[in-house]
Amino acid sequence: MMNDVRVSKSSLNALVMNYLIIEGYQSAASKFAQEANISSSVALDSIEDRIRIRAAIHAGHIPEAVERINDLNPELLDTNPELHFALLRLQLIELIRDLASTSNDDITPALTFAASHLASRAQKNPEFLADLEQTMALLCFSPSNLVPQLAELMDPALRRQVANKVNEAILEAQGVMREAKIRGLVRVWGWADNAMRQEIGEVPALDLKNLA
Amino acid sequence: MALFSAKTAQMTAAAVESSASESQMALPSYLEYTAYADRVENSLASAPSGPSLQLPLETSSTVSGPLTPFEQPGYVVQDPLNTTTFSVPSVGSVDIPADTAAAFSLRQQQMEIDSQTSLFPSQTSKSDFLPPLPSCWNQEGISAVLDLSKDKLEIRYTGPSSKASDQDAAAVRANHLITPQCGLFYFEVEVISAGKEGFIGIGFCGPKVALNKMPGWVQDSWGYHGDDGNSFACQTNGKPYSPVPYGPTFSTNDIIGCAINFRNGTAFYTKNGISLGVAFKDVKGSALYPTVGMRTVGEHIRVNFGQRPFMFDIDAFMREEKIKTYKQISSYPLSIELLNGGLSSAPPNGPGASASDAALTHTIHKLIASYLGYNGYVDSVHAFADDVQKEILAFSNARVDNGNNANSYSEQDMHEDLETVNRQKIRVAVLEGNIDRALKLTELFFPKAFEDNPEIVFQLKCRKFVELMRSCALAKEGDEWTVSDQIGEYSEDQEMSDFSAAESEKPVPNSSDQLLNEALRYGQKLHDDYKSVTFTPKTTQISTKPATTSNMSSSASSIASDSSSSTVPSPQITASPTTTFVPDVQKALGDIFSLMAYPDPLQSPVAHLLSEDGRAAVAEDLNAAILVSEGKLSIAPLERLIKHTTVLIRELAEQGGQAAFVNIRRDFLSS
Repeated sequence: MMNDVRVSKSSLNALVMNYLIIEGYQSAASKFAQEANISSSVALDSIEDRIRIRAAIHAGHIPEAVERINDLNPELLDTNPELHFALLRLQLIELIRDLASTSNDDITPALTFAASHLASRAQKNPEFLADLEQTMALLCFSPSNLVPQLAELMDPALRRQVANKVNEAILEAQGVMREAKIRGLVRVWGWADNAMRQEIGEVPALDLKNLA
Repeated sequence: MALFSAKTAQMTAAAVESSASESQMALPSYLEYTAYADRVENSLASAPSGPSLQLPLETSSTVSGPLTPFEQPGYVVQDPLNTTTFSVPSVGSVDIPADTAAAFSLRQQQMEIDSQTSLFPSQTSKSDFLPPLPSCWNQEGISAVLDLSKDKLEIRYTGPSSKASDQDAAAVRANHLITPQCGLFYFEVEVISAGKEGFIGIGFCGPKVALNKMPGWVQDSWGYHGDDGNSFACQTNGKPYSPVPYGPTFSTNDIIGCAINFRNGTAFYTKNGISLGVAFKDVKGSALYPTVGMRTVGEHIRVNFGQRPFMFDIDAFMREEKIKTYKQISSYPLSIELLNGGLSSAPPNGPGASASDAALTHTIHKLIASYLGYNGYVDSVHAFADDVQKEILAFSNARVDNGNNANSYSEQDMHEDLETVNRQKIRVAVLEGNIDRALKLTELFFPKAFEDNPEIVFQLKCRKFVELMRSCALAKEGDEWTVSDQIGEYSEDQEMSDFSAAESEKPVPNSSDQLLNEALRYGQKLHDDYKSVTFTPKTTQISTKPATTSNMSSSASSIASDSSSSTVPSPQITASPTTTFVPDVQKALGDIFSLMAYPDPLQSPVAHLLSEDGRAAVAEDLNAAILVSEGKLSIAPLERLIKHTTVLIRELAEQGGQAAFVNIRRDFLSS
């Protein structure tokens, strides 16, 4: 049954290329284009800016990332208040993280930042407010002893999330589909696997690990 | 407006092959992005040539029970009372991995049980069977008062002109059942004349419904009536009718559309291109026919099953349904266990949604890296590993407290992979047309590939002959041609120096005559070697020992197997018998030797044989043969994931639901 599903080589290549470009793996994309002999419709150098922004966010350098975003697309954050708030909140978290890693007890910089950049935005939006309150709670607890909800904020994975949101927003503003197709594909697999499980109890697992 | 694309016109063949007498019909455009369309397209793509598009109608109608008068061949409907079961034909199912087959046959049994107990008899769920869509009315068994046009699309009531009663109702139904795999089915009925009283009912019904009642007035039947605008759903015989006020009345020149949505089991109508809203809920059953009923003389309608553009913009409605489907799918939380059991091993730690995200990213990285490796794209594998590495470094360089994340990516472990490098060299040789080099390299590094697959040697030798003919033809043209392009120079490889030396001793052909002579000599030898050879199909069992040369970390996979052993054991596809491609030797030889018949093969009808594109196909086959001989499956995990998911969607879609709105090929694999 599986073997009579036809998948063309070119469509597999396109799926991989789509991922490399959208997620910003620039050198892999250009090597792949050479080796698989495919021409890419998206200019590869357009990836560069997105990589720099992502790297800045991953490293926790939020002001640098915001600056780069504004250089690339001055309207992006203005037209996307949720994204802007997510970045500012991440910056606040980074300030708190700095605080925790030093023996400095002075929480003034964090409070000042929160008051000047986040408070006014939070007043206009109840969701923002809840997020801000939760973030401020970080100041009250020792970083080594956080409830899961708060620990999640300190987890570096949050940087990845925000970086992905920024990447998607930039792509969307450039008129490119915002998510790599392979992500959707894997999700459909997860969903269909579960749906099938509900229906018949068990599903032949796709055992990929022995094959790779 | 729904229009027909040229692409879908090709799909006609599969959809209407079953009934040569019926008008040819393209798949309507609104169905292009459904699971059904994916199957139609796949069956076209997999057809080697010619008449294999034939739907397996004959085989699947080996039913033990009698067919009711209205059953079409292929629509084996089980009688819920007789509980007759039929053997499911195993058309082309030799390739099913044993475990997959076992699990799916479990479902088969389940469905057989369902079909015995449920009100709606179930169709055969054999996934090789691609049910055609309704395309015209069914003449069989209709009342004498109904006059069916030659194209079977128009129906006229010619009954007694005296005062008609409900007893005079006569209905017709479509030639085929609506398969829920199409997600949504839509058809329009044009009222050419309302006749005497305009007593026209439009709807759908099950296969057991008698044709002497208006749609909706019996069990298993639904209808919208033009004389009063009421809707009727599954009225029970003998009880007073309980009409539900639904829409406006309709009459001459109105176009009424009817849509059944298998995503949520609803149905709605349209009048002159405008939706009238949901008419029926809880429309269940995978055995429904479009139907129309009439009652008074002169009533005359014409149906449109998608042969012509629709009045209502069903394409837009379909797009909305697809968006809803994908919203639902992406809101489903991905199971980390599934991702881990599937491919990745040690996902980065992290609570909640972020862990799921990270596991997804991790899995995708593995899929991409293994795909690149499988295809021998060595530089790409390394560049990707570097890119991922850079990303991780940027991530972990920062002031991270619990900074163990960097270690959890095994992409770091991606090493120079000798086997991959060698496969890449061989691929490049074939792509450059240097078949000798490919033969020698394969013999040197992967001798087992040739031992296991004498066919691939034959394929390579045929290609070599083609390359000789090609260089000969190019030499005649007198430009662009270079000797080294064909002979190859690869002294850069130390291990190949022997071969290089041997080859450089050969006299370099310098005229097209000499080349032609060489080609002819080679062709003669090829003919002598293979004139009495036939390859027999064989099934190779592939061992699934973890690939030794994999670029994935082996420690990672051992962690994964630990974790999977602690969870509930589930059947796993560990091995898949692969039937190797068996070339028809004599036909292949005949094809390529035909090149010699033309003074200028490049301008001949067989010029396509000389195309460089043929190299890629040979390179693919050789790569696959090497992978198999190395104990790996010949297809990359990414491809496997796509095929597996396609099969899951296909199975799920047989009952309609969200899955019917997913078309893997169109949604993820087209650019």
